[in-house]
Formats: sequence, structure tokens, C-alpha cells
Amino acid sequence: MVAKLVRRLANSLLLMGLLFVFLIITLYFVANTGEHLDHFGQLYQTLMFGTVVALVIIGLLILVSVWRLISDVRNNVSGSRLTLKLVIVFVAMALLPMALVYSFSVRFLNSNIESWFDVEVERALDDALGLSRDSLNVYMRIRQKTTLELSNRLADVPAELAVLVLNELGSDSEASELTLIGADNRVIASTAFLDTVTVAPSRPADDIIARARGGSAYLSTDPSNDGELQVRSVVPVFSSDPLEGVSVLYATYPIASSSSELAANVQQSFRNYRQLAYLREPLKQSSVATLTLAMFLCLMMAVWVAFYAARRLMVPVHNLVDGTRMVATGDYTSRLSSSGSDELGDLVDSFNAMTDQLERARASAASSQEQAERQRAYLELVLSRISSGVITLDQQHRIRTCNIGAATILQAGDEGLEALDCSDYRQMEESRTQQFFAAIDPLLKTDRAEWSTELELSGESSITPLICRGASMRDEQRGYTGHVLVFDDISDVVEAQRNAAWSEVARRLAHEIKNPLTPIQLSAERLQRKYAGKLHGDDAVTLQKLTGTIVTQVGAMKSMVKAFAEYANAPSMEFRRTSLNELISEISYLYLEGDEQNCITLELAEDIPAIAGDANRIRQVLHNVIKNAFEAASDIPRTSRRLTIATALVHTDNGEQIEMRFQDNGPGFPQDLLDRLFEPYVTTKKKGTGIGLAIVKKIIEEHGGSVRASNPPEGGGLVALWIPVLPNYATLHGDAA
Amino acid sequence: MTLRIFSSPQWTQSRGVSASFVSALILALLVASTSLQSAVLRFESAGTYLVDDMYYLDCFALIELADAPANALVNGVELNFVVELAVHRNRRWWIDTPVYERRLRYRLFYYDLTRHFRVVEVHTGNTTNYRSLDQALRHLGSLSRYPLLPAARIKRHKRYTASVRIGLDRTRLPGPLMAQALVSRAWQMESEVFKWSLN
Repeated sequence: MVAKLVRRLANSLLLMGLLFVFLIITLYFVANTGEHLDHFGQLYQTLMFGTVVALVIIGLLILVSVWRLISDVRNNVSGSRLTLKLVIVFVAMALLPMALVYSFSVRFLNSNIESWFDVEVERALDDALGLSRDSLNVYMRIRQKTTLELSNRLADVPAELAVLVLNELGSDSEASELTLIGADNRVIASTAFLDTVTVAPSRPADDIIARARGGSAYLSTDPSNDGELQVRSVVPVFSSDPLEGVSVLYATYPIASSSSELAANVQQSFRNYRQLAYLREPLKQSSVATLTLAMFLCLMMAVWVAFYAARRLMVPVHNLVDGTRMVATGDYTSRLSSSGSDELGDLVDSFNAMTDQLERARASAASSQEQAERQRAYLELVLSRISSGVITLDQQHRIRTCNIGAATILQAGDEGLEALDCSDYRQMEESRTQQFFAAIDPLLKTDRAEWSTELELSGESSITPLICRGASMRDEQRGYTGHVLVFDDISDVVEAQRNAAWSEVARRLAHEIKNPLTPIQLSAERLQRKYAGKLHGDDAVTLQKLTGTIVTQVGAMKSMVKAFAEYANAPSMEFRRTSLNELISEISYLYLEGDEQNCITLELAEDIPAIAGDANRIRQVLHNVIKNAFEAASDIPRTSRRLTIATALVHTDNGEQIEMRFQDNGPGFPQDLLDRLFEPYVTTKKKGTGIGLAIVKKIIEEHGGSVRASNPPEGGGLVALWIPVLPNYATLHGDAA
Repeated sequence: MTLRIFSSPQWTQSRGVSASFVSALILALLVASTSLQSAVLRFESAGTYLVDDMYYLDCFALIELADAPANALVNGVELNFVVELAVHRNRRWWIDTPVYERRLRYRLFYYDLTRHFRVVEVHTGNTTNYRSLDQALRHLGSLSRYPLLPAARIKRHKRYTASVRIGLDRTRLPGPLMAQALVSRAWQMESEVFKWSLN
């Protein structure tokens, strides 16, 4: 924070300008304020303190700039070396002429000050002063003589007459003041002349009076308060009576104004000259120091201006270097501010234009990449949504990509199929994956561009037929680059084909068998009626038995043909909102009477949603399943037969479905028939047609559901049916229920 | 050029001021003092007494000039002295409040024509001439029966402190000497404040 502030201050044109202006004004003020010396004398220390502070601040800020520049150079900051060179050049350019001017100015100052002093002038002043002194001495001696004469005349004058005598004598003596001081040191008489008004008589100092009493007269010329010169004379006044003490006469004499003024002028000139001569050396030192300070100030200004100008000049260069570095790091968004219309400005504009073009090019590339990425993602999405398995292999037949369908069909585990080596299929753990790649490995090793094959993958309880198509991928530059494999689970197709075949068989059987059955039955009944009365005994019994057998078997065959016809020719269904719970309850109610009473247990879930279904067909489904269950348990005593019907709402990959579970306590289904239990003509019962469960499966699948039979661990058989709830009906059939 | 110097003393002072300014600057930056000899300026005695409801002041300061100021004096440089008189009312919990303050200014210079040292009392205008510098300094440092302040301004139950101080007014020196006076001990002529109880 502080360093930032100091740096900002060091670069502040306003602050440094103010400081320099302050110093320049101070110097100018010092050099031109002689007329206001008194005020300046009081401001002297304040100004000096301010100047020192200003110089220290400027010096520190310049040092900060120097230190910063050196630091920048050491840290290889962009533009710092060029700035250093510019600063050195600027300072050198300023220093050379300044040094020349300074050296010549010092010589000129010294010689100029020396030229002020002249021996002749000094001697003339000394002579003038001596002449003035001599003139004054002559005048003093005359006045001394006058004073002595006055003292002689006052020698024996009584004290009470002293004033009168003094007035008389003084008026004739040109004295401005006469004072007679008695032996007791008191003023006996005093007179003043020449318009002098004094409150109290003046008297000389006591030591002068004492010396005068001792016989040493005092004589001097003194400047008075108003600046005029006057002669002061103190002489003893001896009395003829030795018993009386010595009095003292003090007399002052004015000097003519013209003479006094001339003497004062000589005194003033002499004093000024003496003062100037005395101050000569300090003056020279000060003048040189002033010049030194001015040069120092100029030097500091030059250094600072050099820093400032260099930085200003280097700003676009520094920006260009930084901008280039940013471009090198991939940042094309930076734009440099324009730095004017000079060559640097053109360079900055060109740089900005270049970064614009780079930015556009990069944006275009990024857009293309993004588009390719979107297409790839879309392709992945499509591949993930299709049921077919798609696998791409590289040149070494390692899996590069595979979709969800492939993993689902091949029942790959959590590790998936990524990076598997197809040629190393023997090491694979997943049996289906192993079977798949074992089947296509020979095809991959052929040179055929495209091929197709069908194969079956056997699982624990089922066999899945697949059709697999393969194509080799070739590049003009690299040649063979791998394979793409597309395979489908064709279980539904095979089953549909099988169902269609069975339906055709059933229809043909019904058509071919049903037609002769009626004549056979009618013929048997006619034989019965026609020959029953003609035969007797055993013949009659035999006829009755044979014709009865024919009629019974024909009836059985008719029932079978009817079942076949129903399987082959299912009526069109009418889908309506249907409640499975209600249908189950209704059908189970029919079984409350008869052999299977109290055998059915209902475990119906509450609040299960409705389905879209054909109630009559579902009743047929329920009948068939319940009937099949009881028939399967025909070996169990009727009172012990149990059938539990349960419903539940389950969530599967195909959405919400209603599950119906029919679990009996019979012997269960044969294990080898579990996969084919819902195919026509597959039955374990002696009298069964094998059509019941096939019809169940057919109707459930027509409702979009699925079926499965299994043997639960607790015993018995279990048939599970799933039918989608109502919302899925519209999706499946495109028709509202 | 020479004639101009003599005819215009203020011009000389102007140059001197600028020179002294820079000299002081340079000297202050480089060295502290240039003279080892120091002046003597201290009060030997001072006291007040009450006569006719007026407090009078008698004081005597010993003043001895160092060589540099004495040399400057005989070379035409005028020295200005300031005597600061003050009476403060003492306060226990606060700074003392002044009830009387006065500055007496004296000019001392050498009169070459009559070889006198002249002391001018600026506040009264009286001028006194002395043959010797010692006499002049003795007069300059002496105050006898100076009427300080009337007793009516003094409250009886309050305590008062009188103080006197004398010093050389360096701001009135010629310019070239101002720098020296700022840093030289010879020109550092300021007495300690002499205090005594007024009542």
C-alpha cells in the first residue's frame, strides 16, 4: 500500500511540479526580497525548513524511481532496459551543459565579487574618516579651552549666584548646556540654551566626574539621540578656598548640522564598506552555494523529467511487450490503448489489428471444434439410445468405442468393453462377450470389407440370437484403420417369426381338421342311431362304445381346434381404463364355488393405478393362468391347493408397471421348459393343448407388457405378468385409452 | 558597480540574504557547527520590589560576545538584542496564564567616527555611547528600577512568577551572516529564562 503510494507520488506530475515550482519561487523570492528584509528575516528559518523538506522529498522520490528502475532491470521487466538507457541519455544531456555553465558561473561570481573591492576606495574612505576625526578634534580642543575659561570664571562664585553666572557665561560661549556639579556631587546650577528643552539636567557618568575632580578633564564627541554630533567637556572648577571641594563643570557644544551630516555620511559609507568587506567571503560562499543549489535543483529536475519522459515514451512499448506475451500465452482479448499518431501509435494499431484477426481465427476454430464436438456428442447420444450394439475396433482389434447397446447385449460388467483386445477373447471373463468375439474373430481376420453373420449367445437360462454386421474402415493415407461392428438382439424377431409360424400352423390345423370333424361326428352319431337297434348283445355294446369314443374324441378335437383358432385369430381389442384389482377380484370370485373354493389368496396392493386394457382379454389371461395353476397342482388334494395372487406397482426401466404374481404350491415348472413355456404346444399336462400360456403371453404383449415363469426357492410355480400403467399406453399405442 | 554598492545598502542586503539562505541550507545539510567558541549570556541577578503600588525590576545579565560576533560588530555589523519580560499567574492544574509580557529591543553598533559603541534603546529611543564594548554590554544587560506593572494587576491570594530572558535577534543580521548564525555556536546567544516569585 505504502510502496504503491510512494510509486504513484514519484510519478505524479502534479506533485513534482508543485515541489519544483515551490523551490524555484523560493529561490526567486530569496533573491528579490531585499526590500522586505525584516519580514524575510522572520520567514528565513521557515523557508529554509520548507526547502530542506522539499529537497528531501524530491530526492527520496527520485531514489525510489532509481531503485524501482534498477529492480525492473534485474527482474527483466519489459522496457526497463530501454528506460534506463533513455534516463542515462537524458541526464547526460542535461548534466554536460549544466556543468559547463556552473563552472563558468562560479569563476564569474568570484571575480565579480572581488571586483567590488578596491584598495583606492578603501584608502579614500579611511582618509575621509581620519579627516573628519581631525576636524572634530580641532573643534573639540577649542571647546575644551572655552570650558576651561568658564571654569576659571566660576571658581569662586557662590552657589546661590551660580545660576546667574552660568546664564551669563553660557550665552556668550555657544554652549548648548552648562551644568555645575558641586563637591557633594549635587547639581548646583544648570542652564540650557539653543531651544533645548530638558526635564532634568543631564550629567556625565560618575566616574567621569570623579576623574575630573582629580584633575583629568574629559573631552569627547558623541552622537546625540537625534543623531547630531555634540562635544561634551567635563572640567574641574577649583576654588581659592582649599577647604571647599572641587566642583565640576559639564558643558556640551553642538556641532554645525552641515558638518555633522557630512561626518555622518562619511561614517555610514565607511561602515557599509567595512561591513561589505567583512561579509565578502560569506557572500562568495553563499553565491556559489546558491548557484550550486540551482544546479542541483536543475539536475534533480532533469533526472525526474528524464524518468517521467522515459516512462511516458516507454508506455506503448511496454504495452506492446505485455500484449505480445499475452498473445503468446493464448490471450487474444487484450487491446492496447492508442498512443497517438506517431510511429508507435501505428505499431499499436497494427498490433490491435493483428490480435483482432487472431481472435477471429481462434473463434472460428473454436466454433468448428465446438460444432464437431456437438456432432460427436449427438452421435454418442444416438448410439446410446439405439438398441443395436455398435463397436469400433482399432488396427490391433482393440475396442476403441462401444455404445450402451453393445454392453447391454453382451451383458458386460461394470468394467465395460473399453480397451478390450478382441483377439484375446479367451481371457475374457464375461461369457457372452467371450462367445461374441470368439464367433467374429475369424471374420475380423479375413480381408472382406463387409460381412454379416448370425450367432447365438447362450446364457444361464436363455439363448440370445444375434445378427452381426462388420465393415472394415480404410483410410487413403493409413490404409486399414479398424473395424466397425453393428449387432442386434433378434430375439424378438425370431420369436415373432415363430409366433407367426405357429399362428399359421394353428390356422391351417383349425381349417384342415375342423372341416372333416363334423362329418365324422355326424357319421358316428348316425351309425349309432341306425345300427343301435339292429344289433344286440355285445355288438350293440361295442357299437355304443365305439361311436361314443368317436363322438367324444371328435368333441375333444373340436375343442382343440377352437383353441387353435382362438390363438390364431385373436379378435381386435378395445382398450379402456381398466382396474386390474377389480378384474382379479371378479375372476377369483368365480372360484369361490366348486373344487377350488378357499384355495385363492389375494394380496392386492391398494391404490395401484389403472391400465389401458381390454377387460375381456385380460379376464381370459387371468382365467388361463389360474386354470393352469390349478391344473398343474392336480396331484395335490384339492383342499391343500393354494394360489396366491398379488399385485404391486413397480418401477422398471420401461417406466411404471403393475406386477401380477401368481404363485401356486404345485410341483413347479420343468427346468428345461422354462424358456419355452409360453410357446404354443409346450405343455406338461397329459390333456393340455399347450395354448393357454401362449395366449397369455400374446395378450400381455399386446398390452405392452411382459411375462415370465420361474420356480421360486420356496417351491411351487410362479408366473409373473407386467402391464404398463395408463400413461405409457399412449406412448406405446398412440391412442388414448 | 562599486559606487552602487555604497549608495544602495539594501541592494547589498538583498544579495546577502539570498546568499545567506543558501549558505544556511548547505551548512545545515553538511555540518552542525563551525565555531568552537561560544558566547556567554546569562542573568546574574534579577528581582522585583514594590514601591508606591508599582512593581519595579532590577536585573543584571552577564554578556560576553564570542569572537565572531565581536569581530562582526567592529566591522560594521549591527547586533540586535531582545529582552523579554513576563509575569505569569501560577495555576495548579493548568498552564500558567500571562498577565504581563513585554519585549525590549536594543541595538548595538560601533561608531567609527568617534570610536564609540552605541546602545540604542529602541523602545525609548535613548542612545548611550560607550568607549568600551564591556561597558556597552553591561548597560545592555542591566535594567534598574524598571517599572514592571502596577500592583493593582496582582491579586493578593494568587501566586505570580516573573521571568526575564535576553537573546540575540538573529533574524536582523545581514543576510550572509544569517546562515552562519543559524548553525554556529558563537552566534547562539540566548540566555536561559530567569524566573523568580513575584509575590
